[in-house]
Amino acid sequence: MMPDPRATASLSLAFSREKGERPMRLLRQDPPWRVVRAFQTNGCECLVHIHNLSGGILSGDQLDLAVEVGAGSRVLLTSTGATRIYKHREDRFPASCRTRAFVGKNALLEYLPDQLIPYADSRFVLDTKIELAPEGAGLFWWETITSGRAGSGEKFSYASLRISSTVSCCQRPIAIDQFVLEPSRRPIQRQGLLGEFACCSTFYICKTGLADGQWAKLQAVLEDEAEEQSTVHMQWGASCLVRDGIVVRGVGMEASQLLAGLSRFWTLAKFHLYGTEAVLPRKVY
Amino acid sequence: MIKLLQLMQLSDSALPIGAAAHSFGLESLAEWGLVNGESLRALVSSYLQEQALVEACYGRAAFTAALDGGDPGYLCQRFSALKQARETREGSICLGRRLLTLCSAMVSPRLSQALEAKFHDEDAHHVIAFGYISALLGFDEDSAVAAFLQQTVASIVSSAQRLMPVGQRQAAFVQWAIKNEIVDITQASRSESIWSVGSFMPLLDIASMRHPRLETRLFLS
Repeated sequence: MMPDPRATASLSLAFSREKGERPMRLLRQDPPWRVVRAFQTNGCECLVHIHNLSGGILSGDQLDLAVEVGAGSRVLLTSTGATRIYKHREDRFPASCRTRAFVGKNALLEYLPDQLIPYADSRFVLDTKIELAPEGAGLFWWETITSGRAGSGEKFSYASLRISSTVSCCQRPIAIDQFVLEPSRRPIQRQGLLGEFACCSTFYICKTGLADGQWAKLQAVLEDEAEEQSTVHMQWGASCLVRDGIVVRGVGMEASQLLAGLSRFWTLAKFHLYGTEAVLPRKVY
Repeated sequence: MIKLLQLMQLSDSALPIGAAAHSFGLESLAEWGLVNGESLRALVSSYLQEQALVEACYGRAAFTAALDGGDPGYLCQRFSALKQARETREGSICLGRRLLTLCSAMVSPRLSQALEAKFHDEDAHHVIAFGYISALLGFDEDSAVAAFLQQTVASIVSSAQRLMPVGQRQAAFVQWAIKNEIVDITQASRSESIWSVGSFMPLLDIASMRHPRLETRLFLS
């Protein structure tokens, strides 16, 4: 394979509430990553848009994202639009994005990217690991995967999508989700997988150090919401994780429906866990 | 011969550990009309290729851990993190605990103590307990994995018979016809690692998550 000049582009962000320090430090930023600035919302939260100047992820791109949320900081990271995965070139490595994040004591990371759109013949590896400190570290993190470029008639035309997601605390896993989708080898719309649906979302809601009873209460709230939102076009479920969190899963026909649904779960969960309003990035609503 | 007979007994879906009380999401899918008698074979096949492959890998890892005198704790932790739907996770742990209790009463005191020591504080998932016990009892690894998968298929089909119009002949046919896939998954699990193996069954996950809210339920999960 040809060496790729774009191999390994890193974006490294650190957030702090220490006196005398800027709320966000940009430790490294290689193209195509681009962060312009951190906006203050709700008085104490940072809203950061992560741009990809390429407009998408190209074959051969090896992207790295490192995020450290220091004690007490509250950060909302989002993308500026859908993440497009372009067609794979045989002389390049499959595109990949590796994310590593640490959330400190009483800090909060809200990592809410737009949907992933794998184009026809694309190959992509998405590997995300988020470590939470044991005392009050919080996380709202969702991912939405679509069937492809629906406007061009592409549906499950990508070559492969390898997803690995881990949330842990003190190296002990809270949630692990890993799978490989290769639609040409194994259809995605089989029984029990997506069925007739085209898109799926996973939303992790975590906070370390909470009593189990609090999670049971929130689970009941989110179960009600899942029942209310579920129709023939969309199905949702919510469940307590093995500890320190809840997962919400949804399947639907359109990513826009799922993203709207996710924001309702987010609003409920954030109010329940933090007593504050979820400030929706403008593009979501 | 005695090993074969022991394996047949421990992998019988009628073993009194409570497997008949769990549908692991099938009941919701049936209630929503997303699976019926005609599509049962396809669902079982999907399950084998996704979830059962993961289970087979963890069964093998537990088998190896037992042979090496290793600790199954990290397997239990990872498996609990993978099983994200609460009822499914708790059902798996419940069956594993009961299997350990049953085996502890049947095997030698030395093996019983070993099981108690290794799984004392852990989420003893069914497949992990089964793999571990299989090694301690000297079963062949491939046979143990295949037997566990066969039992899994039998449990799903048995649940389906109680949830939808699936006759005994059809149930027997599904179980018979799926055996080649059981062999394939058993072989495939040899080359998979617990660090990378995974499954993608969002609809089944959602069905399991919504199971507690069904108006009438035959099953615990």
